[in-house]
Amino acid sequence: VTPDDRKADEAWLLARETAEDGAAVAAPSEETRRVYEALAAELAQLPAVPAPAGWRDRMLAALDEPVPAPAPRPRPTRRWSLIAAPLAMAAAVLLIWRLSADRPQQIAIEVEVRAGDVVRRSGETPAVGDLFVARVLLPGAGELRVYRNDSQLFARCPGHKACLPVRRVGDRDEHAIEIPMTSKGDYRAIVIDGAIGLGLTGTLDGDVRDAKERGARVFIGKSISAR
Amino acid sequence: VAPSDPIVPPPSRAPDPSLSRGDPPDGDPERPALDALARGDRKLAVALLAGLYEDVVYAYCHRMLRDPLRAEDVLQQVFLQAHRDLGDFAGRGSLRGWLLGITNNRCLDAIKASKRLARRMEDDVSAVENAVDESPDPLERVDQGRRVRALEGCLDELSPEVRMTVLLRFQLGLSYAEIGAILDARAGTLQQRVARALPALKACLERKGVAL
Repeated sequence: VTPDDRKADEAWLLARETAEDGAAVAAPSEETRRVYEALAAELAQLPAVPAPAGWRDRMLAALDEPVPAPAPRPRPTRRWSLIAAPLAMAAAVLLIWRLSADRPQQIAIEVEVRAGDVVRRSGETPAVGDLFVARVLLPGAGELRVYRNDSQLFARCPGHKACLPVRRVGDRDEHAIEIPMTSKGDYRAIVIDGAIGLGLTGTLDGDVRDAKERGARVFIGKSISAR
Repeated sequence: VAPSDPIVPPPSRAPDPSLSRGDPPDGDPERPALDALARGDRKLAVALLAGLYEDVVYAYCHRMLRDPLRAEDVLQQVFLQAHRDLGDFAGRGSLRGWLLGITNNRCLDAIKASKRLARRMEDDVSAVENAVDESPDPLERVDQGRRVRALEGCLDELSPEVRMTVLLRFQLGLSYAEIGAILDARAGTLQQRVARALPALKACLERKGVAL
C-alpha cells in the first residue's frame, strides 16, 4: 500500500462518513470497500467484556460511607475565654480522655514469603516465583492492595483471583492474598481501612495520598524484595 | 466501481444491555432510573443505571485502558461521580450519553496518570479469556481470539482521543452528533479522525498478519 493509496482511502472514507444519509460515494475499488466494511464489522463485533463480579456492591457500599467532616477551624481568642479558661481546660482533658478511649485500633499487616509450602525465614532471599502472602484483619469495609516497586498496582482484594475468601475472625474480617512474585522487584502490601471507592493514580504514594484525603486510614506493610 | 453507502456500523453481536433487561412498559429502559431521580433517590437511580450500563462502561474502559484493575477503578469512579452529579443531569439527551461523557473524562484522567509511570502495567490476558465468545467452532474460536487480540492491540496504537472516537462510532454505534456531545468535538473533526484511523488500523492488522 503506497502513501497515495492510503490518502485515496482516507479521502473516500471521509467522503463516506460526511455523506448525508443514503448518499452514495464511489470507492477507489470494490476490494477497498469490502475491506473497510469488514473492518467496521470486526470493530462492532469485538466481544463483550462483562463488568467484574461484586463491583456494584463495592460501589454502593462506598456510597454509604459518611463523608468525613472538615476539621473545625480554630476560633479567635476572646476576652471572656480567659474567664472560662479553667472550665475549658477541664473540658479539654475530658475530651482527650474520651478520644483516647474511642481511638480506633491499629491494623497490622502480616506478611510472609513462601517457597512452595515452606515459609522463608527472615535471613533468606525471596526468589521470583515465591508466594507473597499478606493477611490483615479489618473492622469493616476496606481493601488489601499489593504494589510492585511502589509504582505498580499488582493486585487488590477483594477482586483479584489470588485473594483468599474473606473469613470472619471475632468481630473482624480477615482479608488475605497469596500471589506469586512473577518478576524481580520489591513487593509491598497496604491496607485501606474504609470503603471509599478509591481510584488509581498509578503509584503507591499517590494512592495513599488520595485515600487519606478521602478520610480513610492507610497502613503500609513491609517491603519484600524478590531476586 | 459501483457507488456504495456510508459505512454504517453493523449491529454488535453483543446485544445492547439496555434492551435486554426487561424494558418497562413504555419502552424506555432509563425510565425507572429517571423516576427514582425525580423522587430524589439518587442511590437507587445509580443502582438502576449500573444494572443497565455497567457492561457498556466497563468494556469501553477496558478497551481504553487495556487493564482490568484500572478499568474497574474507573467504572467505580464513573458511577460514584454519577451519584454525586445526578442532580445536575438536565435531561438533555440520554443518561447513557451523560454516563459515557463521564466515562471519557475518567478514562482520560487514568491514561494521563498511567503516562507518568515509567513502564506500563503488565498486560492481563484474562480480559480476553473472560470475554464472551459465542463462536461454537473451536478452530474458529482460536482464530477469532487471535483476530480480537490483534485488533485490540491495533486500537491501542491509536491516540486516546482517536480510539475513543472509533469505539464510540463502531462499538457502540453512536451517531457523530452523539459522539460530539460526549467528546465535546465537532462532527467534522470526528469524521476526519475516523477516516484516518481506519487505514491505520488496516495497516496495523496487515502487519500482524491478519487478513480482512
